[in-house]
Amino acid sequence: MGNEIISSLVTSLALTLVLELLFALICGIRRWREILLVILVNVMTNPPVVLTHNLMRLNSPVFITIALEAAVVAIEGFAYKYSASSIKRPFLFSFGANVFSYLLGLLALHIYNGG
Amino acid sequence: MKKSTISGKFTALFLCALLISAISGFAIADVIWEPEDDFYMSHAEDCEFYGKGLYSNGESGYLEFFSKPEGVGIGFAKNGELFFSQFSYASNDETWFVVEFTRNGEHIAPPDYSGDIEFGWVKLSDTIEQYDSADFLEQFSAEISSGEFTEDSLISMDIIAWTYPCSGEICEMIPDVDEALTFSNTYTDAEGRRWGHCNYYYGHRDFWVCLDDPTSESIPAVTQQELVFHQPNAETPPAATGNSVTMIIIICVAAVVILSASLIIALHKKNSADAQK
Repeated sequence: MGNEIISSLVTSLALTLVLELLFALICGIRRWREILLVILVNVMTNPPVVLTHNLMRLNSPVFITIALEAAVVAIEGFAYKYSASSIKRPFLFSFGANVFSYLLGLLALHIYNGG
Repeated sequence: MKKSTISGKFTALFLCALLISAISGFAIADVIWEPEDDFYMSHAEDCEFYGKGLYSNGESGYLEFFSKPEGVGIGFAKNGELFFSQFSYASNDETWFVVEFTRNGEHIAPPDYSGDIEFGWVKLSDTIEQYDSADFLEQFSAEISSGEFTEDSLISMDIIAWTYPCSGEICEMIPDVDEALTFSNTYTDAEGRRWGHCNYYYGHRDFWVCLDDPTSESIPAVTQQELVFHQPNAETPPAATGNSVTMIIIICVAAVVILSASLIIALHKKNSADAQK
């Protein structure tokens, strides 16, 4: 059981990092400090959210998912605002990055499940 | 890079991702009822239809429910409760069943459809399968005659449908039956009463009718299944499975969060220091 949770955490974080870094690169973020910041904010926010879903048996109501994702966008937005001077719209960037990774992650899961 | 270019790229990316996700997200509803359980939905092809009752009979005196096969424990039901499962899943050396339930205080209880219904998984080894029509047909196969027939005397009657002969358990009352009621098996009980087994009649499935007394609701029961349940050693259930491992994982995730937050703060201070130079 523990192995499954750990596997879920690692897989989700890896996929999120790949997608959000891709989004950041597409949006023109090139400085290594800001790339590092993108990595750190996702390491900070992704595992707690995934673990929460696992502990709630992944049957959490939609509003819980929305609340968690909104909190993630806000926290990441603040991190970008105070630590990344070149990101002019930190909350919009955070929102876009999270929507991008969430939707493409959903697509990847759908393909993995043979949908 | 110009703001308009970034904004345009962002908009295009967002719309593409939304479109792709919307296309891949369509699902066609299936006519078969399926549990709204996340593990079941992601492993439906590996699950088999079951459709039987299960008595709780954990060795500790309580039946433990799990979040998913080999998942975290989510609660306990007292032994002797009757649950129903539609689907099973084989995992390593254990068979698991997905079950509906309702929380009743500290314990888990059979579903109360006037309240909140939840789903959980239980092990076959912690249950006793309910004796049903299929078991009766197998046990008394030598005494059961097969062959389709109708019973004209039942037409227009309100008949009682039983789970199996002399079960003492009524499935339902079927009103005003017609000539479409067809039986496929016949059994004569110890008292000489004839019983007919019907596989399907206008949505009513797998039931028995006492052909000699089709409207009686008081046909005595003959026990086919002796139920002996494990007695609890304590008033309260044991500790849930997997919680110690889960606690360790929670602590590790918290440590990762604190460490990454510290690094972000350090990065912020570094940027501020460089900006002042």
